Amino acid sequence: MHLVRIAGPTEPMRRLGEVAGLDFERTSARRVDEDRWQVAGYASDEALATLRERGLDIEAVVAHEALEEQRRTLFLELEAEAEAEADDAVH
Amino acid sequence: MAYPATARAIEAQLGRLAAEHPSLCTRTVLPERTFEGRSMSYVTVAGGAGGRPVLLTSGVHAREWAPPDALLSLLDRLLRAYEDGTQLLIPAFTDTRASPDIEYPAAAIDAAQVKRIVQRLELHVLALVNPDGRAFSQSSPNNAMWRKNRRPEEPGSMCFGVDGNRNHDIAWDFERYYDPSGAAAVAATKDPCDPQTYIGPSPASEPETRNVVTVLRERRIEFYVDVHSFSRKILYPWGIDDDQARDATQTYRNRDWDGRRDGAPGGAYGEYIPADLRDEHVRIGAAMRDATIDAAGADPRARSRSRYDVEPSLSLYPATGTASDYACSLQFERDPPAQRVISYTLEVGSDADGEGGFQPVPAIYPKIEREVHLTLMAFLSAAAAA
Repeated sequence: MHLVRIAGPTEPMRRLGEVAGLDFERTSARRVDEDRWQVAGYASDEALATLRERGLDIEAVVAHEALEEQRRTLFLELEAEAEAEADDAVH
Repeated sequence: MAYPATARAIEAQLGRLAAEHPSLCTRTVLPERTFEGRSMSYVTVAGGAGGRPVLLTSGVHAREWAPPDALLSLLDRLLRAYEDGTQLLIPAFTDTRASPDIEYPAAAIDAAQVKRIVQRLELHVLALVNPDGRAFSQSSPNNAMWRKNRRPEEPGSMCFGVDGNRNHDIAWDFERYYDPSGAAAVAATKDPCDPQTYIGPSPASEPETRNVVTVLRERRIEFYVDVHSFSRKILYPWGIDDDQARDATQTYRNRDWDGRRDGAPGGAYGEYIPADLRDEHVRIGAAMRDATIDAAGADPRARSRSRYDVEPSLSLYPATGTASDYACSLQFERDPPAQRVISYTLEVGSDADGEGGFQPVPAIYPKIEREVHLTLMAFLSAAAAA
């Protein structure tokens, strides 16, 4: 999974919902110019390939490895919180 | 409470706040339990009788981890400031991951404003609309991107969950509502296996949706914000179509338009909103936007990264069944006579600038939190002044 920005003409951009493995944030859509839009989302390798086949532009924002690292950090926090909750329950 | 909070910690914090501020704050358990048996509750802050009813919600999308935490810390700061008679202080934050560091200065909402907000409003905070989804999203890194609730699979399907922000009773049946082009573009689906925007088997089919509806209706909410992430936007109705203030017959209630709405910016159909109501949304949204920029200090990078855009919810894609549109729609009901409703979706944070999209890491979370606090304090100030 990669965090990316996708840009292209209105019509193909209106059909992003059809792309398997793409999870875009609807509200991030912004008009770049008269007939061109950009949207941010999370895409699998397969989704990226589909988007490129459709002629859409892809800008990498956060690569897969960096996203994994961020997630590791967050889940370490959650583990610490779970341990604290367990301690509270004991005391 | 450490970020990111678990569903259990959020519920416990709501109870703690009510217990610590018994003269100001009451906790109400909502009537419906979730599919996994969790109870949902909200707190009400009221420093005077007959306050204007306001509702803040967050966490309907499970993977959006920051907003519920930020709502609870706002509540904590507001209650403490009011009881102590002090200003509400939003601490400075230094983004050390930028090069060079970016300083976001401390900001303060003065004590008189805090007092007005607490005494003139009846503030309801439902910080976690989807506790089952959050618990699942936080159960494993593999589940972190989960968005929906945890409705069990339906007969003939192996798939869980409904998008609570597509399940409200406004334009819910999008295939009937739009023309084929609009129905194809809408960010909603009738496929239970879609991981994002399944609308559910019927309008308000989900217990979480009905709990939100209960608060909106029973408390006769006049000001509403549903906090999401991400895109640094303050969105006002409508999300179902383009806004227009010319033709009052172009409305979601008018069945003559069924199958003919385009759901597109600049199309033939536009959803009616009275001009004064739209102007009021724009005015208050601008105040929310200005609050974050004004607090960002002189560094142009801080100002740029604190900039929220105020827009109608529809941009490229329509969305049906959202809480914000539904809340707005209540004012057009005729029986009982309806109150005016100001309603927003606040999208905090960004995909860019190391803000982490749906799940900011703890190192950047204070920036997201301060933006939630600044925008919502501006919103509450506007509600208290109305």
